[in-house]
Amino acid sequence: MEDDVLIQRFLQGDEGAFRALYRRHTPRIRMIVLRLLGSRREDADDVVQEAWMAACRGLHRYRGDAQFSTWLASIGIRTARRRFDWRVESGELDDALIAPAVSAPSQLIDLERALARLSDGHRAVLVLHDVEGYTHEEISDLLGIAVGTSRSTLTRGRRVLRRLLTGETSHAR
Amino acid sequence: MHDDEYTTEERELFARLARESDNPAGEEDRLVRQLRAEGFLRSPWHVRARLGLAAAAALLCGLTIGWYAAGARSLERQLTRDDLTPVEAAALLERARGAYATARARYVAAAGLESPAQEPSSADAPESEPIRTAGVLWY
Repeated sequence: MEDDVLIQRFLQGDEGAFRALYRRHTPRIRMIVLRLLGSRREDADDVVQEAWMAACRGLHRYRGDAQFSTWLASIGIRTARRRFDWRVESGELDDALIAPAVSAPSQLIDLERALARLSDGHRAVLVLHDVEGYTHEEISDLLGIAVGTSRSTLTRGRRVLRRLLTGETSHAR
Repeated sequence: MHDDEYTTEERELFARLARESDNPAGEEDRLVRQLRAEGFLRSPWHVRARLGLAAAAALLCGLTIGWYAAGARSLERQLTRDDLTPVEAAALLERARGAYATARARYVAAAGLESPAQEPSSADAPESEPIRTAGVLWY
């Protein structure tokens, strides 16, 4: 069933329609939120819940200009952003928390760990641009920063990421 | 460093990153409960059906109790009691007197009698229920 149909049914109070929307879209939004939060993955469920509630409260304003998944992801990103600490460069790293849930090649695990080690700002821009494919204009809007800041943050973030990846790879070997 | 500075291997690595994460058990129900509490969701049909049945049963029960209670306090029922105290008997007499006066006035009006002082009798009355009732009261 199409998202639009499910949304209309949900707006009429249909629980089944909501559950269908939730199951369809939560895995992606949850992954984005998990990556944005880095080592604070324990907050992810609360952020996802908060994002869904915000989406439901504003759903009557959703006009279908963008895909529902894109609209929902933007709410998830803005919700996660409120938990960022823009001042801290890098938090403590808990390997158990940032290890991917599924078995993945060691290079992928290294990349996930390195992403989690980045500062909130670097990680947010890098994840949104390099993983999720957002443009700097979109990132500027989502994170409330200037387009130029997004560009420069990405450049610095990539530099730090490469350093972390190199360090982790040599450490693992 | 610029976008193009990722190596092919690094770009492939990014492309292979997981795009989805499994929903943890219980989160969906937690959200549904919250949505229901805030009025976004209707209760499931079986809950509504149970509530409807309970309301109907309560209404039926109330009507039955009310009907029995009204019957127990009716004048006809009170007149059949033989366990009245003197005070209750006096009250019943007063009540029956009032009922008789009302019934009599109705009879006068229904029979088209000119004088309300004229005593009704079964011979004057058309064969209908009110007269029988008045007769019982009078008796």
